[in-house]
Amino acid sequence: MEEHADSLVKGKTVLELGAGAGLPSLVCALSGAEQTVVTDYPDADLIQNLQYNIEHCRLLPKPPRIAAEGYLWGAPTQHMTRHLSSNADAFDVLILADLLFNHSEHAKLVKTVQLTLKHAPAARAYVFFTPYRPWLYEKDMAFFDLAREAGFVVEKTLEKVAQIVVPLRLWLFHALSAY
Amino acid sequence: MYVVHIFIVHTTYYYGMYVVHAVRADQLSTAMSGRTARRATTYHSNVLLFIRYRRPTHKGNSHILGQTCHGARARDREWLSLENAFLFWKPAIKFQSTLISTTSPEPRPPLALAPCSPAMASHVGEEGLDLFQEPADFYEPEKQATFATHLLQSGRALQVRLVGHNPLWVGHVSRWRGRQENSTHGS
Repeated sequence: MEEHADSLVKGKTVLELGAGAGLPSLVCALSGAEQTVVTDYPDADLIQNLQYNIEHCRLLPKPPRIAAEGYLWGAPTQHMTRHLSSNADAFDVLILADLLFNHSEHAKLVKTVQLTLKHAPAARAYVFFTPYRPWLYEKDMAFFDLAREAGFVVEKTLEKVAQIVVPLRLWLFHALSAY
Repeated sequence: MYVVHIFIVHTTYYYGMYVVHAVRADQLSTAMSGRTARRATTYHSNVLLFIRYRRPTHKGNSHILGQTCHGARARDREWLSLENAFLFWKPAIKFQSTLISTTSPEPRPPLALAPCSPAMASHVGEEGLDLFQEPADFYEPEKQATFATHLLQSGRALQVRLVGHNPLWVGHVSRWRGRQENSTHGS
């Protein structure tokens, strides 16, 4: 996201799902995103930690254009879209980083993308995943079948094999909403 | 064979949605998330009865499969996930409707587990009726937060705090690496 910030992030509204520590969202906020909403499961500890990382990131502009919210995939989205200044009800960019191992949640994830991604040709959901359990690789990939069935265009754009720690295959997909 | 447990699960309104606080039962909330939870709170009931068929061996103070399970063992996760979560679904609805029909609109925690199936009877004998009383060493100690640093292309360092532990991460270090790649690279 940082390498291609001008085309992917700058001036756009960004929503990250299942953010964990929120690193991609922080990078987006640092890279000129108009507004970033970083979310994870609505567990108090998780959201407080996201808020902590925002408040303790000295690199962010003041006031930071990033907000942390709890979000249960598939649930209503108003509490996230209220951060959008333009009264928009959806985001230009979605980030789904390392979520696909949640096989039982794939349908809710696709529904979430439908709810939160703008119905515009330029809107993109960036889906990164690593098959930590290679024997379940097909189950990871089933997410993209669901996305296609839901009307998204899925495009593989990157695969990377890491040399350190464990063999890491990183895939990046575009999911383009049917306009 | 399933060992049937009955769990009491609380729901609250949090961050714009109803959240099931499934005590020690992260997989239960997978089955309970969404419509069922909202329906329960619509009826002003903050107590739900659940069936679970294995004693948890971890502190499930996180709530959903694969999100923030603290100390869950992988074999327990396999036991309780996916198809088992579906098994939870129907009994959950059944018990919920039973509870709603017998309680007042005001939240009122049940004091005793009246219906007791034969499968459960032996287990009740082992642990007693108070499901909230766990052995002192039942929970694993909380893991401390850690910090990780990501080097931006500008050369500046971005530090974030990491909390929680997830058995599906197969070592959260590799997952952290994935996020770093995500942050650095785009299309």
